Amino acid sequence: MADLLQGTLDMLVLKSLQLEPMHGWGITERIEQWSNDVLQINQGSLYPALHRLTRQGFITSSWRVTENNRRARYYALTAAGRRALADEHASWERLSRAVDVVMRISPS
Amino acid sequence: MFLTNLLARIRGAAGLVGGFAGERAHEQDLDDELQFHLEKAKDRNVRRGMTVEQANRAALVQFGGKAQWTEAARDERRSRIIDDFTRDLRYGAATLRRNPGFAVSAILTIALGIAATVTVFSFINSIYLRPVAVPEGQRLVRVYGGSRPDGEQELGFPAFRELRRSARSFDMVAAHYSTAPLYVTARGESAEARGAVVSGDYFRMLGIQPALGRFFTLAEDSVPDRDAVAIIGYGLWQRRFGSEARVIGETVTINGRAFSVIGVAPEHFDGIVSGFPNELWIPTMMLRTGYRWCDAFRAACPITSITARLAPGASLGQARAEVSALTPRLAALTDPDDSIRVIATNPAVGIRVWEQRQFAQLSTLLSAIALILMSVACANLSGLLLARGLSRQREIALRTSLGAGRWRIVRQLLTESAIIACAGGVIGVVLSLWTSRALVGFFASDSEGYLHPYDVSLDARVVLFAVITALGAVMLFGLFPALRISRVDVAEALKVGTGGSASRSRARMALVAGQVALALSLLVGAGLLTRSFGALMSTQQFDPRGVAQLRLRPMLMGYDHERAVPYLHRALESIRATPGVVSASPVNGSLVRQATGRVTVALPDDVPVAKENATRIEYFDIGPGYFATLRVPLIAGREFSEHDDPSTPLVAMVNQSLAKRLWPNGSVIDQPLLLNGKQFRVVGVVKDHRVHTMSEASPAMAYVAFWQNATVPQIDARIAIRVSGDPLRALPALQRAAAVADPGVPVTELLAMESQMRATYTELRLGGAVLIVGASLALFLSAIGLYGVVSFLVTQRAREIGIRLAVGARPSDVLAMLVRQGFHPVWIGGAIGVAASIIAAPLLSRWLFGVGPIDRVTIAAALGTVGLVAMFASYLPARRASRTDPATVFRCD
Repeated sequence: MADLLQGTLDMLVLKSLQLEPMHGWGITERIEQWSNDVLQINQGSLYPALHRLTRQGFITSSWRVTENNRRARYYALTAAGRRALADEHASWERLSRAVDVVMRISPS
Repeated sequence: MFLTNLLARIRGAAGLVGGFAGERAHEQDLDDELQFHLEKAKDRNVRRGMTVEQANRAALVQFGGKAQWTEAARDERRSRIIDDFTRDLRYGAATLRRNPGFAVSAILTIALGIAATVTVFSFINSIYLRPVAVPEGQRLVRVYGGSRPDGEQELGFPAFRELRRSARSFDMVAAHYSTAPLYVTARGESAEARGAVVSGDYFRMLGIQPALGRFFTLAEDSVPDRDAVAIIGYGLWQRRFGSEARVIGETVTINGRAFSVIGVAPEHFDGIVSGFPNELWIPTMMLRTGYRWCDAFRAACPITSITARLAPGASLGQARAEVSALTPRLAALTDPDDSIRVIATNPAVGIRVWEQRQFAQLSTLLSAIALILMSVACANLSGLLLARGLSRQREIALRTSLGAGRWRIVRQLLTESAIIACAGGVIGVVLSLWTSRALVGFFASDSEGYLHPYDVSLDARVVLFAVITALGAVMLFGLFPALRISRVDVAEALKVGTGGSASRSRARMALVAGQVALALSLLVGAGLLTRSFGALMSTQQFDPRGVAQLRLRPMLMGYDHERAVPYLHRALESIRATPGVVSASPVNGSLVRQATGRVTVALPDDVPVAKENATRIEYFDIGPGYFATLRVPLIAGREFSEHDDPSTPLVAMVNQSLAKRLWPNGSVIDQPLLLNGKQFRVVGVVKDHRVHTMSEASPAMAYVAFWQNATVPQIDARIAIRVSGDPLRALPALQRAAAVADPGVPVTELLAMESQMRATYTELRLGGAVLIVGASLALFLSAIGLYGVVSFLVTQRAREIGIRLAVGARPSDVLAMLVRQGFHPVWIGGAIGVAASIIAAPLLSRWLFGVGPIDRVTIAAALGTVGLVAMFASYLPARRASRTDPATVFRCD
């Protein structure tokens, strides 16, 4: 399992909520599925991240009842969160492209 | 999403407000959430083929230590609140740093307001609230006779004995006479010490330890006049005994009797009566040495006070009930004439109860002034903040558009205000240390020359009050602008160009008007008191300059009348022989009040009336040449002379008011007069010359001859001495001259009469000074406020001014227009201020003399001053505007 930087984790969480609101467990599942099990989110990192994002105003939460009639806390993106996601994505693209370029340079 | 956003914002706000209160709810939520997660993980494991136990174990392992990351999650949430607060603080501090001019003036303004309020509160604390500064101070209560028509009084020694014997709710009861004039001769020097006569367990009750030696034992305070032991104060020990340990066992003479020093009191202890510091203590069994005017062990000579300590577990209510039950017995022991109905039991706080009453009006006045100053300061600050709000419009609009809720912005602005209030509060408290002392300095010496150092140092109560005041100030001056500023129309504010709503400048105008009104009322008050004092001083028909006084007290040395008369003659002779002395005259009574007491007055042919209904006037017992010494003009007849002695018929003098009252139409000289039933012959009439305020009674007065002992036998005397030079410098020579007649007799109250007279009108001077300071402050702050308003006007109408100038208007016209506009709030404020002064003036009537509470001259002068200051404050920015180059106005847009 890859160790994710805090900023990257936050970006992934925001992305996972882009489609629709979801609870904490669902977020980890979604990211796992989408990454074909490469990215496995540790609960110990997830919940602090969720709190952080809530504090920054990028996500909000509310308690709902699931299909199984269980009580769970659902998180959703805010307008600010959407903007932040777009910004982070753009930064990430720039960064990874640059890293890529550097790595492709052959030592000759 | 809008709904969730809104809900989120509300929850965010609620989260902050109920932050820590909702902690438990949050905990529960977190637990539920994590439990759900765990369940889902277990379910998945089961789906993947594990057994139930394996699934559980795997899920838990995957989770890691639940405790760890619940802690991490909890920390995240907690840190949010602190983070927000720290961020607000740092942002606020940065904003203030960027505007140092604003920050400094804001902080100073609130510091002045807080200094004023805290100073007055320290004073009130000292007078009414402060317990005695000893370890057992909180448990001490005073027991005294209350609600007599003449006021409260002490219960005396026999009552003390009875209370000590019977009371259960007190574990210790002590008696003390804390204003004992003890004349001490030690190591060759003699001087008066402010002493106290206290019962044996007084020091133990207070819970203090001696600095050296020991305190009294109960055995030493059991037999009258037997154990002449004394405890000296720390200051006295340093001053007159050189802080030497050998003082223990040393012999000193107190009021003519030899005493042995057995201990030194701890360093900062000076008795338990605030305002009357003690430096010497002797036991109650030596009361007859400490007090000579009557036998203090008997009833009907009640001079000792009772202070008791509540027993552990006993409440004040219980003590009160017990004392109530004991009242008949105690009252009978205090005053056989049976005039005490109620005995009061109250916590020993503040100064003595009957003195508190004298300060009531002054305290009210001071509180009103402090409140006014605080209001002015807060109004000023509100104005300043509103003005700055204009320049921060864009910043705030930006933040709002980025999602910051209005509540967050208000919180941010309030934090800034809180920083200003805290900084100002600290400075204000430091300032108040100095101003409190200045305030108390007015009471530095009373008319007998004794110091009254009221304790205005900081204690827990004062600090708490300062904190509450600062917080209250934040709400007062910060809330309104914060609400106003945060309500911003985003589109409007982000547009380039001059912004600012009309209503905001209206608010500032209103503030300036309010400040002007307050400043005006203070000015009128100050003017009234100043004129009163001037009028008072000029009604004096005698000349106190160049007059010194001293007091001879042979009674303290046990002299009786026969021994005293030749002694006084000898003393007077040697005083008159001193170089520089023009004349000297003895009196019996107070030289400052110019009276000895009251007598009934009647004419011989008057119908006799019952004693209660008889007319009473004040009288003064004076020696030969008194009026000459004081330079009071005689209207008819002669002064008393050396021939008026006990062997000649009784003679009297009257002043003009009494003469007009008793003999309106005829001659006054040689008329008979009855004073206290004795017949006198009038030999002279003097001009009315006593100083009195409007609230004091009519000035009719009679005078009797000192050497004739017409009223009371003469033993002690005060001597009025006219010297040719500076009275203060003559005092040492006069003291030496008086001591020639008998070096053992105390010579005290060496004062210059002029400063004594001033001390009598302490309150008046104090009130005047405080009002002047307050008025100046208020005026200064109003001027700043007005300056700001006009500057704002100038900025707001920069374009219009440019246009006017460009099309040929004269700069002076523009100037006039701006000043006129700036004066709108001044007119309104002035009108309100005048109305307020008229309504509130009766508050001052107690101190007014020669002026009525509604005085046209004073009001006109105050208006003039305010107008002048306002003119100056609005002229400066207006002048700047009128000189602008029209071109620059159009350039930056």
